[in-house]
Amino acid sequence: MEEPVIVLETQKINAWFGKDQILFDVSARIPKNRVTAIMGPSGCGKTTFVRTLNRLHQMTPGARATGTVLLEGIDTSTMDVVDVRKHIGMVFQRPNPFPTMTVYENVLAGYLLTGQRLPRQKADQIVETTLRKVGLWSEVQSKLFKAGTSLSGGQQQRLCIARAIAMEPALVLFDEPTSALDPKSTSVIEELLSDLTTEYSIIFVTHGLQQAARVSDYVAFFMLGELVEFGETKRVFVGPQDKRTEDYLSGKYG
Amino acid sequence: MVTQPSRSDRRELVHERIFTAAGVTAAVALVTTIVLFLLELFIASRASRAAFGLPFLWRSEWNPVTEKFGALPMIVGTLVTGFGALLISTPFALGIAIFLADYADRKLAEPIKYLIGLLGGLPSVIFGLWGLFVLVPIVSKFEVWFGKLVGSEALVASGTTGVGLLAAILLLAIMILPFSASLILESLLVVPTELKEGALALGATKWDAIQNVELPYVQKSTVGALVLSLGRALGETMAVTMVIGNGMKMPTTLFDPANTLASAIANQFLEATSPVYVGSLIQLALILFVIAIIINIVARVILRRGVQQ
Repeated sequence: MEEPVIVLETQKINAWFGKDQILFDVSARIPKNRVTAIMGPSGCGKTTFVRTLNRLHQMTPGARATGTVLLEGIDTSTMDVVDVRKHIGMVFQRPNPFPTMTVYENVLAGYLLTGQRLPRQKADQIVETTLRKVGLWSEVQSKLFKAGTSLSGGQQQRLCIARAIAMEPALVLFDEPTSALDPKSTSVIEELLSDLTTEYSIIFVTHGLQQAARVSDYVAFFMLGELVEFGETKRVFVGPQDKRTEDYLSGKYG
Repeated sequence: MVTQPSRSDRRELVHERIFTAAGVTAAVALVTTIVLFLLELFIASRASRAAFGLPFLWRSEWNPVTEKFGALPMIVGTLVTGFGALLISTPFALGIAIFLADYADRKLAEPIKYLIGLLGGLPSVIFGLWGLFVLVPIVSKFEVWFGKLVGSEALVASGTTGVGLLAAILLLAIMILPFSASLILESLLVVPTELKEGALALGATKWDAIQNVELPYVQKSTVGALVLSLGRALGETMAVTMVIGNGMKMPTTLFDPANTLASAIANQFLEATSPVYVGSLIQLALILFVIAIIINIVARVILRRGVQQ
């Protein structure tokens, strides 16, 4: 098996909320143009882990983190946080399109919020190609200038994916993006993931084992803030090397 | 199967009826009081209406000696002080609310919020007293300085008092500040975290997110909050009465002594003896009442739209 290209590497990430340590020395290498699932029981630090990558974790009062994050070999602590977040997009648990913006503006939100002005033609082009990438173009073509929140839940979440990838990030973090969606919208988004990997690398937090098995190429198993096992999804599911992974896969922890 | 209500059910029914009757009585009494109150004001002011008719609204003479009355200077005084105060206090209110919602540490924010609440609950006569002894002398010095600057001897001469529109505007601005700041703060605090984080995750700075996500989100409730604050400013009586100077002429500059509808009533009701004089003061009250109702309706409409969104 040839070694995959690495898009993001973490070295000894530790994270705290106040005095509670959430993550312990997490070192992981995330492959490029693949879906890497982060799975584990509730409260194991999955979400905290992805939030340290784009430094959103540190925005919470009392929260801090240490360790190194290398994005395509560059230490992100040497980069401006705004740039880090442009290169690492994020999709949240619940669809959160901006209610005061139209569908069109939501796609361009990353540019609009940071005060970048795009020529009309370029803006139109970004909106169309991005919405096509998330399979939303035909559905919302006639509603481009309606409020982003007027769409259905599943469409809103795809709009949020569009908003993230419109910035052309290297990596997109998905934090349990389907947990608030119905099964049909969930499968639409799951199918979308493999299409997106032609251009983007994806980290996908989920607490569903089946979902991890369905969507991911690689899987990282977290427990009590530690990265217990990391490997190709098939390999981990068929032959887990750590006893804890095995117990989790056989349903011993929630 | 349908069963007969049991004894305890029946007792509950009686309780419910008594409670409903009590509630309806209270509600009817309240509405009746307001209607009677308006009716009474209307009847008591009929001498003034008989003497001046509708032109009362736009006549600017107010002369108790010749018994010629017109409300325009007071209407102007009320609107100028109200909107002036709103204009001055709004930037501060927004700044305070944004600071407390998004920048201040909790350890800092909590005591400040407490102080704002305290300031908002202070009796207005205290503001008035402070205005008279602290603010008015400052305004007076400013007036003299400004008079010299523009070369107006009249201003320099009148600057010895300091009471007038400007003092009232500044005092009102301070008085409504806690009210509007805490209302805006409340609406900022309910902006969903998901939206703020959504903006940050796209590379927005805190200020980008405030400007482009949070403020548009609270736009309508903010306007509603400001209109409610305006309502307060328009009706504020005691503090304004103490610093506005009881001037009955149409004010021509911000330094002129003037009156608002409320302060004119407070300043003069003791001296009003003839039915026409009393009636005219009561008509001022009616005008203020109508302005207050309009402001409240506007605020409610705006706030409701804000909620629906």
